Amino acid sequence: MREHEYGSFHFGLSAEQEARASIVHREAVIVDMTFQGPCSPDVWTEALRTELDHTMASPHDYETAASFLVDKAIRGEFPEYRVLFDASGATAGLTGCVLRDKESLLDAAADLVRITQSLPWLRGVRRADDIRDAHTAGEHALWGMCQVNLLRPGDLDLINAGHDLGILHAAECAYNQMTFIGAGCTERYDPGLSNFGLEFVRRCNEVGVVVDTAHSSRRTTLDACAASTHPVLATHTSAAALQPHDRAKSDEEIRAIAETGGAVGVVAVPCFLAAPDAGQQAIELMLDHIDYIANLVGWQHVGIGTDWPLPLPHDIQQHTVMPLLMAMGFNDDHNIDLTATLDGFRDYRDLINITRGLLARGYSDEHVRGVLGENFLRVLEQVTG
Amino acid sequence: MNPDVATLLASSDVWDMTLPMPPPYWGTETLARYKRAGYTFVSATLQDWPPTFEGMQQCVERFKELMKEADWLTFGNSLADIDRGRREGKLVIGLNSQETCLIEEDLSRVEVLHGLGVRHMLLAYQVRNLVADGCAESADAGLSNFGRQVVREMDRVGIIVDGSHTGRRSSLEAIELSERPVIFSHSGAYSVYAHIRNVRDEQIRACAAGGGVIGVFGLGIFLGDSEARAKIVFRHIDHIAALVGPEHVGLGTDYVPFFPLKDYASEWEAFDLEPWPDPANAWPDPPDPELPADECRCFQPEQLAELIEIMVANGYSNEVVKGILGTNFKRVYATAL
Repeated sequence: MREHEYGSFHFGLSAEQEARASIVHREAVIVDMTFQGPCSPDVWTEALRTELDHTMASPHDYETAASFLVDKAIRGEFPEYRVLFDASGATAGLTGCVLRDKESLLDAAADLVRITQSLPWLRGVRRADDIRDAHTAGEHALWGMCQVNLLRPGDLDLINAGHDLGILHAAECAYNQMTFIGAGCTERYDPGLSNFGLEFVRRCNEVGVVVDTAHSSRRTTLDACAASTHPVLATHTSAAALQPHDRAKSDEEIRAIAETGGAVGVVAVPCFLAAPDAGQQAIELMLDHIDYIANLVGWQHVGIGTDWPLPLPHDIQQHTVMPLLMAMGFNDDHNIDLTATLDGFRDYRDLINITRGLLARGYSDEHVRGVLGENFLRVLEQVTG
Repeated sequence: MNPDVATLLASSDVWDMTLPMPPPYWGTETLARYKRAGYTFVSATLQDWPPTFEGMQQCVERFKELMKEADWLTFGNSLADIDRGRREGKLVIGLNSQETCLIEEDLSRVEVLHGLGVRHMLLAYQVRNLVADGCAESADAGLSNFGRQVVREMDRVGIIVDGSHTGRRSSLEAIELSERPVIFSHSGAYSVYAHIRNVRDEQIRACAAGGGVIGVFGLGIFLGDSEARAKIVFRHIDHIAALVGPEHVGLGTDYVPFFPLKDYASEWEAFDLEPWPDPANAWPDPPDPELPADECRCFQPEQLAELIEIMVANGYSNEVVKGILGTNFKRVYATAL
């Protein structure tokens, strides 16, 4: 493992600015809206890797691989888990469910209990203040994000149930492909929300679950913004105007989301942010997207949703994650390279590079805090209290 | 019954492609009426509602168990089974699915459904699902990416694609994509009565061009006659026959014992049927003030004889009538079974 100093990307900050960046980052309540951390491929020692290899039932055993480090942490065998979480500066991470049936909700609820019971420095979330309280206590929180939404007509009560169980604070309309609710962003047609999709938005509004349009198509995003009486999120996306991609949001969508009072989170996924033949990109590119959105609709409506890097060794990702992604609407045209990271964001200990980079671009402390998490918290507060 | 009609019936395959059999109506009464009326094959919808995979498997298993006692009934998934059953003087029951949502995202379930006995499956019931838009979706989206995979898989395993309840665009795409004839198991002609459940001339033409068949249903509220008389069923049949030829029409009455609803309102509530789909989007749309939904009847098995008489009186030859009664749908089934 080569030596690497995290959080030290060259921004040309003065010593004073660096000191201020540290303070801002430490004092900010940081919510990366799609936090795959605190682990990255970098944290896998040979010993951990060997143990994982012996534990996986097959090379494609995604479930075992994905929960391996967390399970070790729960068993008290991986104290690094907290160290890494603290070192990132992120206040909140993710729990969440597949919105499919009662069983999927209960699975997620039980998982959340299991982890919060075992790791007392991790708490579940009911209200936005729970995340703030965790930060005040020097601890962390897990809020519920649903990406895979398979709700069908007649299932809307599952939204209430998920919310009551503390595992559902935001729900996607569609992950890439067509759902009963609407079109995702890789789908061949874009009919927007179905009739049931409108009902879905209404129920989310009623219950206090944020509607998330990250993987939704253009029309679905616009329909959701028009139908929602509450702020809408796009938790992890990018600006299509800078780089077209199925996963990017057009100016029209970004404006619509901002008009609801919502926020757009920017990813750290190189293949979404850069042109396919652009070669290695740096974190400046992610900051460019944040800048673009802030200039378009205001700093109050942009955030971070890094979604990257994924927490598994690269070769394991190739055999577990890649087949899943390909089965869920992604294809070769999307240029997904699981090994690529932005120079300056290869691990969650690089989160401070975002803070440093924004300060380098002249963002005020308040604006930086907004991007890092306050904008998201405002939305969560408005929607769920 | 007119002796000529009786003779014609006795010498024909008489197929009803859609007989919903919800659990509260399990029993031999309806099937006995079908047999007496001259039907030789009915394709039954045996599903929980909204349909789940396990639910359908259980329904089929339990229903078969219940029907064991009736020696005049048999189940048939192949043409050989169906022909043998008819030779033995039995009513043959086939199986259909009125939704693809029970496969969820699992393509391998298509083959399992085939193993269960399903021989035709409609793409989307009224509203949008993972595969297609239903006919009540104003967006009228075509097949999704996954939907195209499902159609190809249905072709591969041998389940006929059915466009009833499905949206216009999705049905047209399925017809274009499928290598087999596509059917509309139970629909009417939009040109005769404008209702979202009826198919446009464009769909009829495309279906026929692919060798498919449209089964005309018997629900008064979709046909445009609250009494659901034989002559309104004939009007829909006749329109399709005139447009593309009588070899592309058949019967899919969609007979349900609980019409008119007003006579069974309390029973309907007692069944505690799930709100699938959202009643606001289901049917009818738009509501016709001349056809109060809860008063409309449906075409009874016993009305078949009158329907045949009307066809004959309108110059339909015996061969044409036999085609409509069953050989047209049999021809389509032969491409897969």
